[in-house]
Amino acid sequence: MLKVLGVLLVWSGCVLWGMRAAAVLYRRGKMLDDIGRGLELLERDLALSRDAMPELLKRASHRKTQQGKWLFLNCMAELEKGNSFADSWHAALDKSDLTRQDRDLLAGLSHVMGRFETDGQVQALSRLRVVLERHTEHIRRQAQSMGKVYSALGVTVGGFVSLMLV
Amino acid sequence: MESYRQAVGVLPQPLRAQALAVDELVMARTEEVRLRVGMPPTLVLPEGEWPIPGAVPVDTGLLGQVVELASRWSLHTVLEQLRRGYLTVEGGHRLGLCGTAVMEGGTIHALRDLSGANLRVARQKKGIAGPTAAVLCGEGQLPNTLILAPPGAGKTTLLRDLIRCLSSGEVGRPVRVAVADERGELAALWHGRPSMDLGSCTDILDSCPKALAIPMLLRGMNPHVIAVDEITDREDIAAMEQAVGCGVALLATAHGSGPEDLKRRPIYWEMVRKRIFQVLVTIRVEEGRRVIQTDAMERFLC
Repeated sequence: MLKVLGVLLVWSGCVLWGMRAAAVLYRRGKMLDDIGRGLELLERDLALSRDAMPELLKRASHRKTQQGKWLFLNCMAELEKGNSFADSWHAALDKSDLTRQDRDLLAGLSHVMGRFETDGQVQALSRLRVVLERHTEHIRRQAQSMGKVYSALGVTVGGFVSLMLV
Repeated sequence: MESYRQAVGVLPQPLRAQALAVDELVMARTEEVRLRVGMPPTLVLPEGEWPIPGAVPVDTGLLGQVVELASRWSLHTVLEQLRRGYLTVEGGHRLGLCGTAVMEGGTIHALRDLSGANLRVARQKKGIAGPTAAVLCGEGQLPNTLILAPPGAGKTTLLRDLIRCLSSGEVGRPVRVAVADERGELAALWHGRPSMDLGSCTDILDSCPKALAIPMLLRGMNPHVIAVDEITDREDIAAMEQAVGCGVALLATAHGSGPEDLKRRPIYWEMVRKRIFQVLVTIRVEEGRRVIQTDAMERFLC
């Protein structure tokens, strides 16, 4: 009985590992998509209101979805400490669950926001969104293909280890 | 002291902490904070400039940080002001800037390689205009009044308190005062609310050039008095001339060391010649004290 239970535990553990690896990929795509929408809101708001960064970030963070919201909120919290926008944006990215690759992609914004005329900032946001969309699409495709691989790998490895134990 | 604390809020750390560590008496008397590249930051008091204890010499990076903080990380919101060499921060404090002007089509496009900054602490001194207001309104109605004084003598402070006195009815009945606050120093509007007390019957048009603001206020706000700070352009004079013809009293300030400057500067002489103002108020600093004098403008016509 104990042996059966052990085999079941090992198998389900491997299956869960595979599913988790797949979920991480799916979540990464969703997170980037969410940040992209936040940036779109920021871009449109800046073009229309030409407001100051704290107000723009505050409005961009008034969204129901989590990741984009926390990125902007964390950036605002850093600004309130009296840090520069570049340092605040980097700190906010570091606090997020984004991968190094994603963070590097978004980090470029720190050298543009609040430093140039409105049109220049809007253009930079627009360009970043295009690049981000392409990157997100790539991650999404990767999640679709690799997600299935990870899930199948979990089931197979689980089955194989279980067989070995039996 | 609170004004000082608020003003030095635009300084980056650790300079801010060093500026806040000075004696409270010094804080209360500080008029300006000076930052010059290569030199230690100093505090300007009535008796002279004193270095901030423990502060290291200023570099261009620090000046950039000051501008970033003063603009609330949003240069795009203050570009017009920056082109004129200053920006107004929360509380009405003014950050004057020096550097290399980038010219485009004969006008200043931007400032680069910042070399110095002057943070002027804006303070409201309630009651200082009481005696002057009483003299000006002695005959019932406020005459068109020009306040003339050198930079730092307290023109804006006096004008601010005169507006408050007139608007709150401290001398006679309250009158509607419309303020063309081009630099945002008089009222220091913050999200639509004035940081300075300008009285209960005051309407404020912020950040709008005086030449545009005066006709707008005349058309829309039906004022008894229009107040403007620092006349510098011919367009300002033309707009004020229009207002005088509409039966509105004018209160304005201008840079000048004394009445003799009215004749020296063609733009001022034009105002005198056109008899826009009836009364001249001058401020002199004598032995650290400010002396306010009121004269009829007619005296300086000959």
